[in-house]
Amino acid sequence: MKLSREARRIARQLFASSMVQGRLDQSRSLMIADTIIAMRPRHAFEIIKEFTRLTRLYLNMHQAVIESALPLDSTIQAEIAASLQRHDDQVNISILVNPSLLGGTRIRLGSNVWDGSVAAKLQSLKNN
Amino acid sequence: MKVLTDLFESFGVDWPKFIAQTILFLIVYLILRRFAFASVISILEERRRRIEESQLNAEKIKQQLIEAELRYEEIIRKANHNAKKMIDEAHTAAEAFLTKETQHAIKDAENIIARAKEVTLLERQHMIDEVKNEMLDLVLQTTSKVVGKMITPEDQQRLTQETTAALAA
Repeated sequence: MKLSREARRIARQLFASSMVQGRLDQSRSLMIADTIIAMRPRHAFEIIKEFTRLTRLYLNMHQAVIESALPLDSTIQAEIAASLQRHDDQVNISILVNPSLLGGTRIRLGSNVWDGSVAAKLQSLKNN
Repeated sequence: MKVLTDLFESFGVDWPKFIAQTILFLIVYLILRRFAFASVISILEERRRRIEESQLNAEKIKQQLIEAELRYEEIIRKANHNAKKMIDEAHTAAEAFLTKETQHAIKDAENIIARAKEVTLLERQHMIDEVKNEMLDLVLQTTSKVVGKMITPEDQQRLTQETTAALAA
């Protein structure tokens, strides 16, 4: 379904108002969503859809996932977290153990990926 | 004169009768000429004229017949000439068509052969690629199993350090 220009504009304004000091305020976002649902303005469904999309995009952009074939010790975790903080000061980090990597670590921040796993090296070998 | 008189007398010519008969003859002749000869002569004249016309018509018809025969021969000659020309043109067109169709058939056949060769080459390449991929998958699976078992914590740390260095760069 194509969004109307008005709904898109309102959703962007609401999303901007859910930010506090450059960060997304979760409680404010939930309040805005509840208000839209309660008041049911014109194009309410489109507005909430676009608002949700923007929020999800923001969260994904600042979401970091560290995957490792073996559990990482706290020193390396802190080192990686510090590096990620330098890239994005609002980063939200998740750490997973993924044996399918065979060895090494894969780090994803938003749409950027740093893949030093053995599985990735083998895949690269296959592709070449 | 005496001789003539004797001769007429020996033949029994009686001059008054002779003269009377002559006059009668002339009268009869004039009457006949007046009433009979004219119509007979006109009939004969008409007949002669018709005969002449018939002869003229016959001559004309004969001339026309000759001209008709000449025209007929000319028409036949032209028709033969045209027919020969049409047959020659048909032969030429048929030969041109045959040549063109033959060339088309040869070209089609060449295209089919080229396409078949291309398809064969592609299929061959595809099969080779499939075999290569299968072999590569097999090698990678085996390598993965071996490497997964061979990785030590030191290797893991080294690989993680590489990734961290790349992240920090």
